[in-house]
Amino acid sequence: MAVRLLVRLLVHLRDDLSAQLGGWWLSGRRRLGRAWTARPPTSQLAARWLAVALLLLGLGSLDARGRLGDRLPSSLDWRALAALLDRDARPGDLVAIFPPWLERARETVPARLPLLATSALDAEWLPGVRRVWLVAAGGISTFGANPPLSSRSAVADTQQVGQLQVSRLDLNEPVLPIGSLAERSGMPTRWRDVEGVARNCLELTVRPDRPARLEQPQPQLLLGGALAGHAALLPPLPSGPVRFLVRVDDGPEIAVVLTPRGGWQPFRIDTTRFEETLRPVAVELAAPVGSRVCLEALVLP
Amino acid sequence: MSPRARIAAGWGAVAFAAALALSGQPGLPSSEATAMSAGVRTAGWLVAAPRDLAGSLHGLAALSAERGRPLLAETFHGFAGAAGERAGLGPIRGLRLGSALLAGLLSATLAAGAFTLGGAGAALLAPAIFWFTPRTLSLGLLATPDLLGALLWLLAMQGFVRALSAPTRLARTRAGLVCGLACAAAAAVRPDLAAAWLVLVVHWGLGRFHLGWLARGDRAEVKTKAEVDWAARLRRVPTAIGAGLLLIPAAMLGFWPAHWSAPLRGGGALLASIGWAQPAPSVNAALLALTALPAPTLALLALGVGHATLRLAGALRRREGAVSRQEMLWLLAGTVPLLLAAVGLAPRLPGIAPVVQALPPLALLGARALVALGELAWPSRRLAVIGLLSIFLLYPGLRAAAVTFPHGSSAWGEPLGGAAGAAWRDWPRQDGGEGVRAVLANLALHAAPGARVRWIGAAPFAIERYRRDGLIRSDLLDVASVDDAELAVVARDGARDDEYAAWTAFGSTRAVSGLYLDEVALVLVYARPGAWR
Repeated sequence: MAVRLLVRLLVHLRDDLSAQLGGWWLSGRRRLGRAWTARPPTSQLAARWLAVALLLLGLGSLDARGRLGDRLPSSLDWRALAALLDRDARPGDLVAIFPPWLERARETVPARLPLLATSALDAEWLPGVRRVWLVAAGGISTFGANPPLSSRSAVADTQQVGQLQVSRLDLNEPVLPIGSLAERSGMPTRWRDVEGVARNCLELTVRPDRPARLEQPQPQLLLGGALAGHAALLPPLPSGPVRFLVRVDDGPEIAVVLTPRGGWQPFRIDTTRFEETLRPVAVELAAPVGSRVCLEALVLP
Repeated sequence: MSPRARIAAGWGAVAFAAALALSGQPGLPSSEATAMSAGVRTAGWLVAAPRDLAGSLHGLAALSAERGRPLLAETFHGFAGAAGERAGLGPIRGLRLGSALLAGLLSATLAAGAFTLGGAGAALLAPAIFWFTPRTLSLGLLATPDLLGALLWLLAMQGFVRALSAPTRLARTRAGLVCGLACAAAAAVRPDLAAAWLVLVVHWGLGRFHLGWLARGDRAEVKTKAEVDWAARLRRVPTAIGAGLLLIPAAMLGFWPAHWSAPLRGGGALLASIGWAQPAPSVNAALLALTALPAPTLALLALGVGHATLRLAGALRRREGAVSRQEMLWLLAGTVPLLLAAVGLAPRLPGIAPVVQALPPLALLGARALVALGELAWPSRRLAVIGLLSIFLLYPGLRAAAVTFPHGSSAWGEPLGGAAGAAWRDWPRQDGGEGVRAVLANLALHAAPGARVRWIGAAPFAIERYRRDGLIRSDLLDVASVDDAELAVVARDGARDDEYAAWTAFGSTRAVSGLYLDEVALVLVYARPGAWR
C-alpha cells in the first residue's frame, strides 16, 4: 500500500515537473521570439558593438600606458644597479646595455667601468674584457633562445634588480692584448661614431699637404703572434674601397682593404716571426684626399 | 549670442588662456628658434622700412632666400612676439603670444565648423580631439608656421563649404573669395599648403566627373553644347579655384622677396619646400603622425573618415548632391596631406608639423562621427553614451599629454610602445633640442661657478632666450668648441659625433645628468672633473 502510494506520488511529481518545464520552455521560446522580432536594427546593433569596441580600446590604451611605465626601470632600480656594480665589478669588466638606447646607465654605472651600447653584442671583439655585465630592461626586451655572447661565455650570475635584469657573463676565451698601437704611437685616440656604435680609435686623415700616417718616429711595438684590430671609414665616405698599408720593421707593406660601408672591419696580420721583439710599425693610409679612417690595432700574444 | 557662437567663443577663450599659461614650459626646438629668429628680424626690418626702405628690402630678400619660403608666418610671429614681450609676458611666453592667439582662433573655428556639421555635441568635442594629444598640444604652443597654416587650411575648407552651399550667388562668390584668400595666405605661410587649392581642384574635378557620369545618357548632347559655350564652361569653375589661381602666386611672391627680381626662378625653391627631390626623412611624416598619436585618438579620426565615407556613399546612391559635395571635401581636406606625405611630398619639418593641417578636418569628422555613433547606438540614452565614449576615447590622450608635458614632441603612441618603441626603431627623439630646457635647473644647481658650456643640438637663439628668461645661470659661459668647454649639454638625436667629441675632450663617457622619457635619453650632460658639483 505504502509502495503504491509512493509510486503514485512520484508519477504525479514527474507529471507536474514535466508540465512545469514544458511551460517554462514555451514561455521562454515566446519571449525569445518576441525579443528577436523586436530586436534593434542591424545598424544599431553594429553601432553598439562599435561603441563597446571603442570603449575597450580606450581602456586598453590606458592600461598599455600604465603597463609601459611599470615595465621600465625606476630610479631606485638604477641606484641599486650602481651599488651592485660598485661592489662587485673588477678591472677587466665591461657593462653592456640592452637595448642600446638604455642610456641612463651612462649616469649611474660607475665611471671606472667601460660601457658598451650596441644591438649586436655577439659581433663584438671585446679586447681586454674578461667579464661582461649585461644590463637589460627585462620588461621591454627579451633575448629569445640565445642571449648575447651565449656561445662565448658562461652565465656566472643573473640577478633581477627591479625591472633591470643583470647577468654577469664570464668570457670563455677573453682576448687579452699585450699592447696597442695607440698607446705606443703617442697619438691621442678619439671617440667616433661607427655605424651607430661608439668606437675609441686612432683617426687617420688624408690631407692635401701630408699623407695620413702615424707620427714619426715610428712606434716600437713589442710584438706577439699577431697585430689585429678593426678599422672603419668615417664620413665623408669615399666612392670606392680604401687601403691602409702596414709595414713591420723593414718587411713588405701589407695592405688592408676597407670598403666604404663595411662598418667596423676586422684585420689580422701575422707577426709570429717577430714575436717578443721590439719592432717599428708603420701605418699609412692610401686613399683619396679627405678620407678618414678610425683604427684600432692591438698586439695579440 | 547663438549656441554656435557661444561654444566657439568658449573654446577659443579656454584654448587661448591654456596655451598662454602653458607656453612658458616647453623648450625651443630648432624649427621654432629659426622661425622666431627670422620673425624678430622681419619685424625689425618692417618697422625700419619707412626710414630705410632699400636696406629693409635687401634684408628681407636675404632672409627669405635663407629660409627658402615666404615670410608671412615669421612676420606674424615676429610682431606678436614683440607685443608679448612688451606686454611683460617674458622672453619665452611673450615670444609665443602669437601661437596662443592661433590656438584660440583654431579652437573657435574648429568648434564653429563642427557645430555646423554635427551640432553642439560635435562642437564641444572637435577641439578636444585635436588638442588632447601630446604632439598637437606641444606643436600648438610653439611659434612656428604650422598652427597658422592649419588654421588657414581649415578656413579655406570652411569657405569652400560655404561657397558650395550658400543660397545666393553673391554669398557664394564672397565665400569663394574668402576661400581663395585663405588658400593664398596658407601658401604664403608654408608653400606646401598650396595643396589646399589642389584639394579644391580635385573636389571640383570629381564633381564634374560625377555629373558627367550621371548624364552619360545624354553625353553627345552635353559635348556639343560644351564645345559651343566656353563662357558657360568657365562660369562653372568655382570662384575659389579662380581666386586661388591668381592669389596664391601673388601672395607667395609678395611674402617671398628673394624672388621679386626673377619670379620664375622661384620654382626650384618652391619644389624644394614641398619636399620634391629632398632626402627622405628618417621616418615618413604620415607614418610618424599615425604612430605618434594615441590609439584612441587615431581610432576616432578613422571613425570620422569611415563615417564620412559611408555618408558620401549613401548620398551618391540617393543622388544628394549637397551632402556628397560636402563629405567629399572634408574627406579630401583630411586625407590629401597624409597621402602627399606618404609619397614623400611634404616639407622636411620635424614631428607631425608636415601633416598637422590634416588633423583639424579629421577631428571635425571624428567629433561628428562620435555623436552619430552615440545617437545610433542608444537613441534614448544618447547623451550618456556620447559622454562615456568621449571620456574613454579622449582621456587617454589627455592623460598622455599631461604625463609627457612639456616633452610632448617626444611622445609616441602606445601601440608603438611609447618613446621606447620609437627608440628601438631609431626614430627621432625630439623636434630639435627642445629637451635642453628641462636640464637647465639642474645645470644651475650643480655647475661650477663660471663654467664654460658647449650646447650641442640646441639652437643658439634658444640658448639666448633661456638666458634672457633667467633659466641659465648668468656666470655660465657659452663656448663654440667642446675642447674649450667644461660642460657639454647634448640634445640627443641623430648623429653623435659631437657628443663623442665631448667624451674625447672630457676623457669620460659618463653623464652627470640627463632628461629621459620612457627611459629614452633626450638630453645628456657631460662634465670635466670638477665642473659638476
